[in-house]
Amino acid sequence: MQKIPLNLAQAGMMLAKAVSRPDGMAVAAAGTELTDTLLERFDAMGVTHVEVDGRPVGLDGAQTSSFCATRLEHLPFLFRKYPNDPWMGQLHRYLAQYFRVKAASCAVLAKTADAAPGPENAATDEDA
Amino acid sequence: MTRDLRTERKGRILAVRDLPTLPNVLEEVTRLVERADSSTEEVAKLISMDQVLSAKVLKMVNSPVYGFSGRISTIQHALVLLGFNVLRSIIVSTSVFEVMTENMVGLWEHSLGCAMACGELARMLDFKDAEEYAVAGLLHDLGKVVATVQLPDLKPEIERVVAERDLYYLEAEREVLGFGHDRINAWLADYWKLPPNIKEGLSYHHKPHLAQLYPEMACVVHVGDFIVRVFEYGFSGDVGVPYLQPEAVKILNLTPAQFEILLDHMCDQYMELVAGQSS
Repeated sequence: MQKIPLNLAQAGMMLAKAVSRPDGMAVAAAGTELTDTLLERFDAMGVTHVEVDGRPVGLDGAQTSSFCATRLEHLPFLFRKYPNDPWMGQLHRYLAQYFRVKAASCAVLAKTADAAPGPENAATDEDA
Repeated sequence: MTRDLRTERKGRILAVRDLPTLPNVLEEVTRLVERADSSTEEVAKLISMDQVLSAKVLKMVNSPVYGFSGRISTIQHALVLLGFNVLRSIIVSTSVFEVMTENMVGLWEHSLGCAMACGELARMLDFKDAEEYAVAGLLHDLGKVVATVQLPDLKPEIERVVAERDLYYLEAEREVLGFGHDRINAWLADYWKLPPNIKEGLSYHHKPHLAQLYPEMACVVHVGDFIVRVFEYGFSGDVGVPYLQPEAVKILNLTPAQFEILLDHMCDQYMELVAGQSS
């Protein structure tokens, strides 16, 4: 099972846990196969994360330049003073996972932005 | 370190002659606010008479810290929305950070980043007067600025101890000065007559579980300081996260889900600030 941001979820993935709206109302059951329409509906409802079967999203990508990837890289140094503290160790692992997911999510957003027509192209289209 | 030396250094910290001066108008305004029959309009009018101060206050209240970006155009509006306690603390912050030297810009950014996290956390937890938490975050390292200004000869020594022995700035201050910026914060809060909740936020942000009167304030500033250090926005004098007191999380009833929402909000805000600086 893997908890992923909605923008990393894709049609064909299976829900490992039911999805609820922010107000708590369940909108899809565990075992449901995701479709593009369902993902659009989740987005409109304000759902930010889903939990899916397996580990379909590789989070160890080389997005080394993003803000969150840098945070992930720096965490061991930031937590260097607590090598044997269970509580701080738990926090360290939690934050590492948080930034790993976030970095992957940012990479998807960046890719989508790159694929979209840039402002220059848009202006050219208008001129034409 | 001997008691005499500590007392001498405390004396130098609080030497009025060199301490950043608060605008004269603040004294008058404080007197006016204490009168039962004063109106917001009168208070706003008095502050507005100092145009330079008003401009600085308006700039600050419209910053992302308070969540009213660009929407407060008059001092009266600021007073109604934020209250006098917040405005008073903002005036103190503008006066103190004015004496900052160029190499303290990182500390300003750290304070601003902490203020944003404190305000966001207080709003998320539905705390009354969330802006007061933001302002406590803004002022939480006040003691560092004042110590640098008042004891400039000792600042390099503190920095040397931090660098050579990989100590926290607070630990190095205690070793070199005999006390930390948290203690200086308490003296300054008394000296400048800051409200008691803000004082407790400033003086207990490293040990929030020991705060007696306003533990939530101290805990919010403690968590805000942790968050801004995780994101490394600004520079507080050392690099590393402070120990996050589990008691602080308990006192605030902060759930993992809320913590994640806070991280998401702060991640977006810091990213925006960093992008703005590099563009």
